[in-house]
Amino acid sequence: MKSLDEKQILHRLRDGDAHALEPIIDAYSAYVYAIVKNIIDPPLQPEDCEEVVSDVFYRLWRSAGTVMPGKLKAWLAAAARNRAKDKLRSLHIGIPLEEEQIELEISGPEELAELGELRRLTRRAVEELPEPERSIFQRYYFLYQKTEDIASVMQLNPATVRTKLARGREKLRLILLQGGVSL
Amino acid sequence: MKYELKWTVLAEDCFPEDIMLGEYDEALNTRIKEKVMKRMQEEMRRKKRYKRIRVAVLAAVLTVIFTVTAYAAGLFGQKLAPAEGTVSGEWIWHNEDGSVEVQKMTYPDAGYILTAEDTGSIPNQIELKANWLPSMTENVGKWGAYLHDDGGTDGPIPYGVSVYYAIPGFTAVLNGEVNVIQEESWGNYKVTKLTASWHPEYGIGVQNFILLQDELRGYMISIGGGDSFETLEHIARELEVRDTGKPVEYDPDFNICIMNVGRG
Repeated sequence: MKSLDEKQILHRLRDGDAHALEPIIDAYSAYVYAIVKNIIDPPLQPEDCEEVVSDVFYRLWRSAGTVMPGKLKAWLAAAARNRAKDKLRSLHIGIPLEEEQIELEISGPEELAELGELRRLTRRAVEELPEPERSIFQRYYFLYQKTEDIASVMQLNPATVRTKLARGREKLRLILLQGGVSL
Repeated sequence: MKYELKWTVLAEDCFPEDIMLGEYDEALNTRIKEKVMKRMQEEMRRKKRYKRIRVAVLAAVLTVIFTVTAYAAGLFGQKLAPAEGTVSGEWIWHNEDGSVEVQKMTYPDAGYILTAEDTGSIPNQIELKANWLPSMTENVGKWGAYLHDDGGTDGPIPYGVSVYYAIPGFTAVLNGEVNVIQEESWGNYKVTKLTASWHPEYGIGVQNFILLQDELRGYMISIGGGDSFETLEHIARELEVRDTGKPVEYDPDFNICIMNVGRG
C-alpha cells in the first residue's frame, strides 16, 4: 500500500480533482470494506458491503472540504460505521452485536445532551487501558470485529478475548466513576 | 433516573489509529471506483440547474481517471460550478494614497471552474504565433502573448486566444451554461472542447472553446469565441508556441478571472 500525501490529496479533492479519489480508494477500500462487513455481513451479502463502501467514498468526494489532513482514516472509519448502520436501519435490521450496556444515573435530559463529553471521557479512559484490553475494546466496540476474529488476529483464545473485554469494561467504569460520571 | 447507554455509542470517539483491517484487493478497488463513478453520474443526472451541465462531462473526465489512458493529467483541476452558492475570489487594489481596497469578485453564472493545481514550480511565460487565422490576417506569423478579433462593436466575437498559467491559487471561471463536447490528446496537450452560453439575450450567444493544457510546462491555451469548432480547431492546430525562458510574473492580487471572450 502506497503511503499517501494526505494534505496534497485532500487539497486536490477539494479542488474537484476526481483523480485524487483513486489513491485513497486503493489505500483504504479494503479497510472500509472490513468495517462495513463486520457490521452488515451477515445478514447482508458482499455486494451490499460494496454498495456501502462505494457510498463512503462518494460521500468523501462530496465532503472533501471538511476532512482535515491526518484525519482521513478516522473519517473513513466513522463514515463506514455510520453508513453500514444506516443500511441496516433502512432494512429494519438490528445491528448484530452482542450489546452490553452501561447504566448511567442522570438527573434529566440535559445530562444526555452531555453525551459528547461522555464520549470524550470514554476515549481518554480507553487510552489509559493497558494492552491488550485497549485494542480488544477498540476492535470490538469501534470496529465491530467479532471475538473470534479478534482472537485470530491477536493470537488469543476467544474465551480470553471475552474475559479481557469484560475486564476492560470494568476498568473503564472505574475510570469514568473517578472522572465524576454517575454510574 | 437511570439510563442505559450502549458501549458502542460511548466508544464512537475511540478510533484506533494504529489498527488496520483488510488486505489490499485490486479487483475490489476497481469495482469500488466503478461504483463511485456511477454514483457521480447519477448525481449529475438528478441535478436540475439552469446551467444543465451534461453527465458526459464528468463521465468523460472520470473515464480518463479510472482507466489506463494516454491522456495527460492536466494541470488545471476542472469541475462543474457548485449548484448552490457563488464562485468568488478577490481583486486587491493598492491605491496611490497607500490604501488597499479589496474587491470581492463573484460569479453567480459560473458554469465551469478551472483551478490551478500546485505543480511545485512557477511556469515560464510562453508566446504564441498563429500560422493561420480566419480574420485579422495581419497577425499571422507574428509572436505575441495573445490573439483577439472582437468583431467590431457588437454581435458575436469571432475568436480570442489567451494563455492561463498554473499558479497555485489561480482560478479561471467560464460563465454560462457549459457543455463539454469532447476530450482528447494532441501530443503533450490535454484537449477539452466545450461550449458556453452566457447572456444569449445580449447577442453574444454561444461561445465555443478549445482548451489546450500542457501539464509539463504549466500553461493552458484557450481558443474560444463565436466561430465554429472547425475554425477554432484550425487556429489551434496551426498555433506555434515558444518558451520565453522567463518565469511568469504572477500577481496574487488578481487570482480569479473569467474565460468568456469579451470586448474591452
